[in-house]
Formats: sequence, C-alpha cells, structure tokens
Amino acid sequence: MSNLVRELGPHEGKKVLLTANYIYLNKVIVCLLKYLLFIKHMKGVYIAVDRPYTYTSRLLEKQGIPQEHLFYLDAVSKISSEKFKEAKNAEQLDGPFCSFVLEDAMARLTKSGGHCDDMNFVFLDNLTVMLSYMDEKCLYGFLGQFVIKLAKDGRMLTLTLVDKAAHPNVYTAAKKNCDIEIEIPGDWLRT
Amino acid sequence: MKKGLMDKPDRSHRGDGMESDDFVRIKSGIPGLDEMIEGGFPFPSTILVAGAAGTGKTTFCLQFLCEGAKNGEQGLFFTTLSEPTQWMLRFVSRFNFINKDFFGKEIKYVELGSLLQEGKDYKEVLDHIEEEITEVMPQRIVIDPITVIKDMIPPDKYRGFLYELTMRLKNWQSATILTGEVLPNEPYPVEVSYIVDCVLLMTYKESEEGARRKYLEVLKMRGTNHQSGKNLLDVSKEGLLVQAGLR
Amino acid sequence: MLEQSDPSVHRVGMRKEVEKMASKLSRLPSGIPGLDSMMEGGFPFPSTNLVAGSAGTGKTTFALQFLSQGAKDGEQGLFFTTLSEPTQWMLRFVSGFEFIDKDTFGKEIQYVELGTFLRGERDPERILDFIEDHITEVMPQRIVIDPVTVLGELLEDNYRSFLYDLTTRLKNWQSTTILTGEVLPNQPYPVEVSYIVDGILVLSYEIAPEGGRRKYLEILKMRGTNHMTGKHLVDISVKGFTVQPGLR
Repeated sequence: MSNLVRELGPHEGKKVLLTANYIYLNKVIVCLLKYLLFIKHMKGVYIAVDRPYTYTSRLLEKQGIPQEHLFYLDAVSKISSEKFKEAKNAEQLDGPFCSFVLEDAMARLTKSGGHCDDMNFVFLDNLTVMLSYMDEKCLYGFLGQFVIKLAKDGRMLTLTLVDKAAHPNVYTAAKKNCDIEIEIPGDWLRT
Repeated sequence: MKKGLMDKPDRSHRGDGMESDDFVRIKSGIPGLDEMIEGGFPFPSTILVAGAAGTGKTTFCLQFLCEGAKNGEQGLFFTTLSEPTQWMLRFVSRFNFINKDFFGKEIKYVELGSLLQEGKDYKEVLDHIEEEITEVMPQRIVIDPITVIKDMIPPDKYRGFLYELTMRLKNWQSATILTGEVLPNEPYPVEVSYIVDCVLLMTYKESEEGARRKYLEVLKMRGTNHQSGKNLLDVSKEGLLVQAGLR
Repeated sequence: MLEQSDPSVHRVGMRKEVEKMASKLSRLPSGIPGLDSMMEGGFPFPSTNLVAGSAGTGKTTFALQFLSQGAKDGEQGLFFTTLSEPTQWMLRFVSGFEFIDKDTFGKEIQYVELGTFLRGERDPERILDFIEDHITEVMPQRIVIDPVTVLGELLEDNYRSFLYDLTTRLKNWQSTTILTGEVLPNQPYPVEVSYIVDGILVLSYEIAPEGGRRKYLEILKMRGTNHMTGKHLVDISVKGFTVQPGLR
C-alpha cells in the first residue's frame, strides 16, 4: 500500500496506466481507491465495465473506505442479469458495447454544472475485459479519446488498468496514451 | 472477413474456437491436469468437481488451494458439512503437499454447515459467503460439497440459487471449485453442470486383482480445447497426479 | 403528413421490407457451413426450431453463429439469455471465434437478459409479454432463446401451455427462432419442446477410442423440408461450428 502511495504521489493531473495481474483485481481496486479517496481526499468517477458497480461498492464498504465522493458509471449491469441498484451516486449506461456512450456520459457529467464537474480523477476498471465487448479498432480509438473527451481536457487524473501478460496488444496501445505507467507487482498484493 | 489491427496468429484446430491469450488462466495445482486444459482453469470461472465418496474431491480442492497459497494467493474453503477445523487439519496431515501454516492465513476455512442446518434462507447463506469474500478477497474458493444445499431449497428455486451463486462468485473475481456428490442414478449433478464453466468427473474402477484405480475426466471447459476421456489418477502423500495418456 | 424521419413511418417501411423478404425468401441461411445443404438451403422463414444438446455440445455457439449470419445479411437479431449465463459472461468466451463481429453488439444483434426478469417473475403471461415487448421494439428476423428449458423448472404445470403460446406469438412476428434446449444425459431432446417446434436439431458427442471427442449433429425434424437424416460429424474451431455432411 505504501509502495503504491510512493509511486502515485506526484502524479495528479496525469494519465496513469496501471498494470497488474488480473487475479488480484479486488486488492488493486481497494488499494487504489483507499489512496485516492481516503488518503488524498480526492473526488472521482469510477467506470465499471467488468462487473456491476455494486460489487466494488460492497467491497469498499467492507474494507472501510468511504464512498461519498465516488460516482459510479455502470456500463455493464445492463447485460449482467442483475438489477441495477438505483443510487444518487450511480448511473447505468445502456451497455459496454459502444465507446461513444461512455464518452458522451463522461462529457455530460464532467462539463461545467454537470454532476461530476468538481471531480479530479476518473478510474476505468478495466481495459482487460473491454475486448470482450468491442473490437480492437474501436478500443484503441477509445483509448486515444479517453483523456481528451473523458477527462476534462486532461485536467483530471485518469487511471486505467490492464493485465499486461493477458493482453499485450491492449497494453501496447494503452501505453501510447498514458504519461505514467505503474506496474503493481504481485509482491505488493500477496497475502 | 474482418481483421483486427494486430492479426491473430493462425491457430490450427481448437475445439472451442478460443485462443489462449484471450483470457487469464489459473493453475490447477494438479500435476498433469494443466496440460490437458491449455494451461489452467479460465479466470474467473466456476468448476464442478464431481465424484462418488472417496474419489478424491476434497484432496483435489486442497491441492488447488495450496497451489495458490504457495504463490501468495488467498484461498477460502467453505464446507457445507458440520466439520470443524480440527477435522480438516487431521485430513490435511495425511499429505505432504500441505503446509499447515497456510491454514488460518493463506487458506481460510469457513464452516457453513451449522448455518445451513439452522434452516436459514439460502439468501442468508449467499450473504454470508459474500461477507467472507469481501473481507478476505480470495483468488481461489472451494465450496465442498455444493450438493447438500439441494436438499435445503425447494426444487423450483434450486436452479435460480445456483445461477445466482455462480454469477456472484465470478463477479467476485475468483476461480471457485464446487464439489458434487454423485448419486446412483446420475453420472454427475446435472443441474450444476449446465451452469458452471468447467466439469471434472472423478471415478474409480476395481481391477481384476481387486485394486482400486482412480480416474479423472474433463467433461466440459468453456473456452478451452480440452482433452477428453478418462485419465489415470495417481494418489499418494504428494496428492493427486494425472498420468496423461494413461487410461 | 408524417415526416420521413418519424419513427412510425420507419417501422412501417421496415415491416414492408420484411414482408417482401418473407414472400420471396422462404429460407434463411443458417450461418453454419455444411448445414444448409442438409436442409434445402436453410431454416424455413418463419419457423421455430429446437437445438438440443447436453452441456458443452455447442448450442450457444450455434445460436450466436446463426445470429451473426443474419447480421452479415443486414438482418436484425435478438438474443434472450435465460438462467444459464448472462450476456456479460457469454461474450467473454466467444471473442476468439472468427464469425464474431463485435461491431454488431447492441446493434444488429441485441442482447436481452430474460434471466433478470425470470428471477422475480413466474407468471407465464408476463414472461410472454416481456419477450413480445422486446420483439416489437427490435423487429428481429432472427431470434434466439438460450436455453428455453429452464422455464420448465420455473413454470412446472404451466410449461406446456407457455410453450404453445410462445410459438403462436412467435409465428405472428415473421422471424426464424432458435430455442436451445438442455438435455439430461439419457434424454435425446426435451420432449415438451419437441411437440411445438417446426424443426429439431440434436447435438451430441462420443468419446473416440483414441480419447478425443467426436461431435455430431442430427436433424430429427424440419417441417416442409426434405432434410438429411442421421448423425453427421461436426467440427468446432476458431471458425466456429461447421458440419461435414456425409461424414459419420
């Protein structure tokens, strides 16, 4: 945890690519959001593409991490067969299939007067699964647009997560669109 | 034909159309098995290990959890029977591959039997499982056996329960083994087989000399070109070992 | 006077196209190489068909390939998942198939989680209305319900009449539907469903002496079609499902 703090420390306002072994996803999320929400007291948008947002929400609750400054954009619960849990800090998108839907939602939320206009980070969880739902061309185009459209002209700290070993192609494309790459080694996450 | 930006290498015959670099895999911990299943179980996934009593299901599960424990992965072992930890530790001491120190740390043992016997609604059981998962954040989970729950749920709700359980387990990012007791009139627990991603069947046969030979067969594995047919299983203090190619 | 951009005009226009198609084309290509030649060029249009098999025989792959063919031909497809796998997980395992075009997801192929609805609902009428609402909205030429057999466990005594009502309603919607059916190991196909469908395809497998799996497809019934009979060898690879008619 302190290792992650050290790495992320001076990087606000930048585009960060996190790489970690996918099997430790829950620990990575807890670690990252603990740092951003609890320690740095930042406010952010969490984009859920891997599983309905309620899983992360329950996880954070159990781990004692406050969520009042987190806004959930749920891109996957529509195709998950779980009922979307209505909440004032959560919005359900039509599906994870089209990146425009995601881009438009973010633009709307983060523009002046939008629900999330005072937020300073956006975390996309995660790139590894996005290939299930969109083809490579679409995904790489989205990556290029992610910061420009999504992150208020680069003023937000944007974080994406990929498993380098599982998807080397996606990693390579994502790397082109980031300022900083932080590799989270298994050692930090092991029991 | 549509092509991706990076052309995928030409793959010759693969049973399920999948390429092994399209998703993550996790090692089973059973020597000889990973080679049969393209390197390991898909992750996340749910795996049914079915077999009659004494075929080695619990050993399989422990070997699976120990494989993770060795590498710093967290494991969660749920028993649906009322077996206290001491029973498990006695079972475990029979084998060399298990490090007792894992228990309580890398391998957390949770006894669900009493909860089930109290007649709790299955939703409470699911919530209890979820409490443990969110606390411990395991990569590997075992529920041994899953079939006793069938007796505690009305038949028209069983499928829904299994569906919800397996969906949640996968959304919690784990590879979960569910063990299934086999009844005399069925080769394996059929309702479970439809819902899980992988089905492994453990059987035994008595040879002419009266020796008992154990076998492992991969019946189903999503996204994987797996080997089919029975394979001889060697059982020793080192645990289970699949003797590939031997029938 | 209605504007060209008025959605109801568009819908009427589409319906006319569909009806034109229906009278011209009485068959839809299945999308499964080798299969169309076994059934006079494809599935009858409209029709309801059962594709039955035990776990791991390729029913979902078959169904997806069928819809993908439609998407390629400019047709609209609708995929209902029930209590087997939500779309979220189903799509994770199919990315590698060459016939999958992810650009069609959410567009030419729409996915609906009937399973979410089923977990709160047991009334056959409401289930039928739910299905029909989506059909009216999407106007598909191809429909899949995967699998339909779980409804048997949920509806019990109401299952037969539900199936009957389902096929009656589907007939009114000018589409070719595939219902997938899970079977028990000793059961060739789900009997209740077999009564109400126009076609029945059975997927099965054997363990070969050398240990591999031999997969088969058999057309048991196809109304109005002079179809091939017997088991035919099936191959599932990165290209998807292919049938080798004539090979046993």
